[in-house]
Amino acid sequence: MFERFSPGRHRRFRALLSPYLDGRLDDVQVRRLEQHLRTCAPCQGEMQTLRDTVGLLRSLPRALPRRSFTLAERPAVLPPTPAYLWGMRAATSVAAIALMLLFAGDFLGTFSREAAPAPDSGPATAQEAKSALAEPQEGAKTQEPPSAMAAEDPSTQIEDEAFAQAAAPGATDEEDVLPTTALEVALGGLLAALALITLFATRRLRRRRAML
Amino acid sequence: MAASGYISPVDESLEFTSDPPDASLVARAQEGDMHAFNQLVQRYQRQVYYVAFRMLGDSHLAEDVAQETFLRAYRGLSRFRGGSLKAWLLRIASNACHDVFRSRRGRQDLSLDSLMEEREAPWASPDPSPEEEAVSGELGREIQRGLLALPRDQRMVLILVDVEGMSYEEAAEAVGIPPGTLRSRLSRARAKLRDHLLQKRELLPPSFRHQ
Repeated sequence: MFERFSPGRHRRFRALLSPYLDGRLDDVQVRRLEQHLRTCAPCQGEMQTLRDTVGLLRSLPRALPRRSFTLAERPAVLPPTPAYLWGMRAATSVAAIALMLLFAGDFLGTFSREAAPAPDSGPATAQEAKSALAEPQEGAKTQEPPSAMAAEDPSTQIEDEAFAQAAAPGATDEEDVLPTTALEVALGGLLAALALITLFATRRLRRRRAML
Repeated sequence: MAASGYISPVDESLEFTSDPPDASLVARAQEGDMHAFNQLVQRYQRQVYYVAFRMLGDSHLAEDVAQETFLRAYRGLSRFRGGSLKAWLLRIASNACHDVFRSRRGRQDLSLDSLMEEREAPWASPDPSPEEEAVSGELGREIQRGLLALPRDQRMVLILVDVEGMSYEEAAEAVGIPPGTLRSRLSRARAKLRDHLLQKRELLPPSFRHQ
């Protein structure tokens, strides 16, 4: 009798009615549900209407197609993707992601200027790259008088050390590295997120294709 | 056979003279044997068509979906990795139905009564049983309206299990969800359809109305 005043309990039992009709409950659930049904007229009514609904669906007349769907001739099968195309796609993806990471890294200040052009420069461009690298190094020397001056003039050593300490987090040795700002971090993060989204989107598309 | 009027004699011979298992037909079809593939088409075309018909409520669209399903199945046969061929085909059909919904988004809804009435499909039984007679006519249309009023994912599981008579496991495979999820989805779908039908008590058989 108490069950009648507990709507939550009714809801739980009613959720079991559908699998009960299909014989998909275990023995304990069946026993509890049947016990409840014996004492609860509304739930009994629910079960009866649910059973009738299923009965109606099962006796729906079957519609037949007007024609057959056999294939008269071999349909034009989409040509399988050639292996080299997969290779090129993979290479493009890798290049795109590497580029994004490079940009992100550059914005974050984790790559030095020397590191950037090194991997792809062939023999023809090696000279250019070298000369390009030389300039910033020279620039860096002229822009960094503190260390040079510190060696020459011991009187300014304390000031120079303080300066060097202040500069230390942003710059290492003689490299001229862009300072990290919040904006650059945000941009780097955005690019990295974009690369990840691209990756996931490609995977999803591929999965969908596989499912047809 | 009640449906012979809609199947050509050649098709009948395909269907009844031999009965090799799906796996061997699939293997032959994968090697390019069109006859073997067409035997599979013969075996499952009615189920595929009927599920699409109940899903869309339109016989012409259902025929398009069925044809598209077998075309996609032929093209994707190399990707079939065993299991229930029927579930695999119905999964393709389900995706094809979703493509129809997507392409018709923003246009008139498929659940318009005119579609149901103007484009009624031929029915299987010239001599319907008392139960079948009970759900023909207006009640049958009301049930279809109720189906079309359900969310698509619920409609599909209801059609697969209660209309098509598939097991939970096979239907779950066809929809691509775990059987536990199917169980609760089916439960909600049945309850919603029941509530829809109870709004039209005058159409329901006496036993139903009694409640």
